[in-house]
Amino acid sequence: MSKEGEFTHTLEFKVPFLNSKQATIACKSLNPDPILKPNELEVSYVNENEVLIIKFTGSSDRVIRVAANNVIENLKTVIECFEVFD
Amino acid sequence: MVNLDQYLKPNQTEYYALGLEGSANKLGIGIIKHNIGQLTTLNKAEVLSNVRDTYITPAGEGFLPRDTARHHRNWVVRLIKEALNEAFGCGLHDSFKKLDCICFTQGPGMGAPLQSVVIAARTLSQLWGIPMIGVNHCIGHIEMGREITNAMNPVVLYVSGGNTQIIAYSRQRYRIFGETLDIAIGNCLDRFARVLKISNYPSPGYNIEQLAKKGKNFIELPYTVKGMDLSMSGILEFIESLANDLFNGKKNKLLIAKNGTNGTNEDEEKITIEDLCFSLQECLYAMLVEITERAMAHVNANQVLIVGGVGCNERLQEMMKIMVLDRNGSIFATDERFCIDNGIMIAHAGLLSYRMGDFTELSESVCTQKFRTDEVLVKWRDD
Repeated sequence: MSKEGEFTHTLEFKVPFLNSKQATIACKSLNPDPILKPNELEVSYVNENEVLIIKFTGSSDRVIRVAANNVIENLKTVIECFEVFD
Repeated sequence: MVNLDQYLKPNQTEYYALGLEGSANKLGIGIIKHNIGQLTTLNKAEVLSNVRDTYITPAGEGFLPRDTARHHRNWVVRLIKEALNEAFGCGLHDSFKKLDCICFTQGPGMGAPLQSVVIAARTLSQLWGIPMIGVNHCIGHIEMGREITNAMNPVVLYVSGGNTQIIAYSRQRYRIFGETLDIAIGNCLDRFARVLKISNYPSPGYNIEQLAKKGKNFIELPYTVKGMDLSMSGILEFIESLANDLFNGKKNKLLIAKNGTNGTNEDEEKITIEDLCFSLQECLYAMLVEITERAMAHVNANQVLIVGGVGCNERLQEMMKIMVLDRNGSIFATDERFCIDNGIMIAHAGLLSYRMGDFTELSESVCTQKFRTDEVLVKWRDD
């Protein structure tokens, strides 16, 4: 990424799920929504087996905090769906 | 007639769809059933469940996107569970197997609430292995209104907290003939209710309507029809300042109604909150009736269908009825179950799309705040 240099702050979540199917679904559910300010922040979602890895890189801790909060809120919905319907 | 069963699976005799709606402060979940074949008066769509939870803010406050999204997140899974139980009544692990698709509101609406609901739709779509269908909120209202009332080809007045449009169908599009140039009518009413600090339960518009019934003096407000369009922010500004003068006891000659003919002080009567509500309703609805009448003349229609949250206002229905009957037409409206935002309309409109072979890929399932009614190709009609 050409803007990599400006993104001085990083954060990484590793979220374990029951199985790799759930991790894949979570990854695909979160992935489509675009970042509102792509010049300030980048978020990537990958799943390795049953673990979902979310990486935030951004220009300040503030933008990362906001994005991370939002991702956690969304994850809660995903996990609640698994809990009730899987 | 369009064949709605081109994509019928072997041995399938009916379709089931789950609809998720959360574009504003209502979270609605519904499950609808269509039997195969054309939808007619003898083969109606069947509402299996239609549950809703409204985020109600304290009097004097509006709902903010962040808080509304949090409300939807808190309730969405519980409400889906409730809707499935109500529709199928059996164990959760079997009930979803009947569903053909999951429909969700893709827009227009508030970004954060829309996004909080689509997350659940995406997860369940993958979990259950059924496609998702993104639905235009306005199309949901129109199709559900048509299905409930049996109106074949009406001029549609869509009035809600976020939208004010006059719509007519032509060649596979619902075309917008006129709309608000600034704020929506429901927004105008809601914001006036906030100035008056009246309760947001069950809805601000309903409470204004109840107050308006007690009003008897009409105050002339700006009347702002602009061709086929409307403007309402000026009216709101005007009536807000009147209300503030009334609360602060400021002298304003508009706040005195003269009853008698001799013009003495004894005949004077103070304008009340009720009078303001009454005047606001009369003025706004008269404007709606005017543009609706013009749209009817334009497209030579004699049916009017009122949809959207403001559509359950009885005074609006009454005024519209007077105009429509004068033109020898007929008026169609639904009650609050279908007028106010609900999941079932999303399920219904989504299922129509599904039956025409449409579905929304995960990567295309991003919600959008702006999504115009006439962007949607109405594949399921060809009249």
